[in-house]
Amino acid sequence: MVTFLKDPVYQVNLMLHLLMPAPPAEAPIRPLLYENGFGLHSVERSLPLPVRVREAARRHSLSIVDAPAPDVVAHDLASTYLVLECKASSFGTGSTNAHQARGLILAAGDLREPLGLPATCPTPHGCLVYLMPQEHAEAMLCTIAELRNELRALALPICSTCTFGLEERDDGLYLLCSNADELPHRLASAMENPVMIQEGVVSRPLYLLPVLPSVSQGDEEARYCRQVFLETIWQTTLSMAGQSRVGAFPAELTLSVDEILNNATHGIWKFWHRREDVKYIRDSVKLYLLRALRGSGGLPSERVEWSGQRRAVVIHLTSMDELKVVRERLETARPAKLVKEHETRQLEFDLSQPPGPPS
Amino acid sequence: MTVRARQLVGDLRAMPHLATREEYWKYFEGWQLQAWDTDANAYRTPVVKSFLVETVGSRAKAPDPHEMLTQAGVSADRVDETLFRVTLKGKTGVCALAEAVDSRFLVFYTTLPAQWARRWLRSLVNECPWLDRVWLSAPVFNRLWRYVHECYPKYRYVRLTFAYDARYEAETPDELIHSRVQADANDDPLDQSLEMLRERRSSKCTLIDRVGEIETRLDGLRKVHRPFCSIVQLRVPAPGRGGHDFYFDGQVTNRSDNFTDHRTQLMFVLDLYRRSTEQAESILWTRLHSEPEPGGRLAEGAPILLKFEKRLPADVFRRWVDGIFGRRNNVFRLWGHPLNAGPDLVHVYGVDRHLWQRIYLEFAPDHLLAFLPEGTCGNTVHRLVTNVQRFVDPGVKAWVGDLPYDVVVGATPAPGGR
Repeated sequence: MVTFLKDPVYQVNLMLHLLMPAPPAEAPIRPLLYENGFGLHSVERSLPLPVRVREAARRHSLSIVDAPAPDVVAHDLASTYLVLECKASSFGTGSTNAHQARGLILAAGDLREPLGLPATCPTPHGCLVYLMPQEHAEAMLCTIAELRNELRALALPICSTCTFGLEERDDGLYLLCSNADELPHRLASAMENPVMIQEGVVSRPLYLLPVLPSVSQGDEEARYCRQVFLETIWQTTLSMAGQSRVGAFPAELTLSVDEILNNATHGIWKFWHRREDVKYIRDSVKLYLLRALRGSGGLPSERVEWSGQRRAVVIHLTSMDELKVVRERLETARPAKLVKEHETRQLEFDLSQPPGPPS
Repeated sequence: MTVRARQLVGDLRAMPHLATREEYWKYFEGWQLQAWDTDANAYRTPVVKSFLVETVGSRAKAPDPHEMLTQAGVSADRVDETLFRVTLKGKTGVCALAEAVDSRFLVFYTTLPAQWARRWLRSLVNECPWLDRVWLSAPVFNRLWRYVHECYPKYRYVRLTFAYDARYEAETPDELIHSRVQADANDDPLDQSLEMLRERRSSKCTLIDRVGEIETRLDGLRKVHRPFCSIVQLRVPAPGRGGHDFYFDGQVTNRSDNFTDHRTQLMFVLDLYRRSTEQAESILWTRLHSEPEPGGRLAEGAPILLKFEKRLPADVFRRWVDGIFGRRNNVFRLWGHPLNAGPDLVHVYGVDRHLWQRIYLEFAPDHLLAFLPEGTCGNTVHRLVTNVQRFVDPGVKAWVGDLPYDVVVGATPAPGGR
């Protein structure tokens, strides 16, 4: 039995693959949601609740998240929205997760304001779907049914709800839907019975998003995701350096840490809020760049500077050959190795001070 | 051979320094007569080799051709707005002409001997990330074949070459050779020496026949021998004698006596190629948002899927992955660090060395899945299909999103009129 089925990063990436246009019979992950008319709307997008709903919730002393950000939102041409939230296991109505669940039920109950749609358009059909390992799906269904009843009793807008359960079997990975009647008809029919979405050995798909802000992971998955994240940082940096166009020399090549991170995470980086995470990740990228570019075979230290103000590594180039050196160094520099060497000293970095040459 | 042609030619190595495009075109027409080969000390008939080269995708801005060629380590000076003389740094003779067809394609014309020309172009492309070959995959050749079949008389001769090189299959293993040698110790010594040969599968076959004959037999041949799916060269007939040999890697050799027709055929193929590449890009870059979303958004695209006809043996699969990522100048032009994502499953978060674009790859014994972030040049799709078909599986099937690749390149009509 694989352990990553309960990992939220795995689950989000699996959702993305289920929404990808791909040939259903041949694709390594069957794009079940795409096949049934759904496409990706957004990832980690916040859905702010209308103020009147927030006020009503306060009036009734309900704990809710005012602007819940579901992991994935999918939609079809008939304006049905699947609000997908990934979880390792179920939770009870007293848990802090229930605050977010209430927010999601209310947001998906009337998505016009949360999605910024015209007030005059018909209310889109919203359905909140919790994805988790199948053994927790039934308990989860009970919790969301309770939360929904609680909100309905207060005459607040509520949405349809169901769960998608992941189950590893001998012949592959299956997706099971509890409460499929709540889904649009076409998808409900397709998910009436368990659907095999990956044949054979269950394995992780390609991670388009190897990291998500504020998710908790087990050690093994965190290690794997970190490795993938470092690889995406490497590929993004190399891509940016490779595509840089330098017309005349001397020239300056600027590699902005935030730009690298933003590109590597498909724009998710902007929404990272935990300061210690942000600092740690920025430091790792900075360290990687400096160690990759300086030193023997690279450029002299004084030509590769850290600009704290711009949060960027600035490389002073005097010729095309030096640009080639930069590209070659980045091509062969493995971030996992370079960052690991100094991992224990990460938190000692001070961004305001220019770092010395690598030891 | 005319006196003028002899004066113009000089020798086989370099082209003359002429003033205008018309003069060069006339030169290429005259070149077909005869030229003095200093090595052979005789008159020979060299041919014009054209190389089709892609620069950037439809939404990216390519640098000026002059800048690109300089980055590639050659000197270029203008003949006119879109035609350049190309000389090697430190040399004076013109080794090729470069024509910027549009912002997407360059064509190099050269009279260098084929082997030199290929080597020169390989180093040029390897040096310059802005350049890549035009990759004519088997489905693109099938589309071209349809054109030949429909537009030329059935009695014209064409030439089709099929090739498959099982590059990643093991050579005859040591232990097998050893055991056979032991077992046959008392047999004929000639047999023993044959047993010691290291061999692997490789098929190459050329058909030269009338258009009508080939058309009736091709499907049957493919059923009995899969390498017949892997077309690597097609001769498109010229109006007169001979024709234009299109190769899988974008080389086109003029075997006719008409350079103008040669150039017309190049433009036709580039137009086909452009349309299929742009269609692939439009699928790959499909955005599900009509407007940029204010929230965290994914710049998503559809994946490319290559499904193999037969599952690759474990050793072949491993050798294939190692062959790509163990060598920087690999034929797939991919670079990255393979991560084991499961048994017989490798993920690479890598870069495409053409344009240094990011690319996400999943290698498995039965498929290759590639995800290209927005802005990626669609040429990557053709390169993957062409090289997998040549070196991994001649019967490979490909999809761009959920649309068969054959449909994207126009080799077969779209299902349901899509």
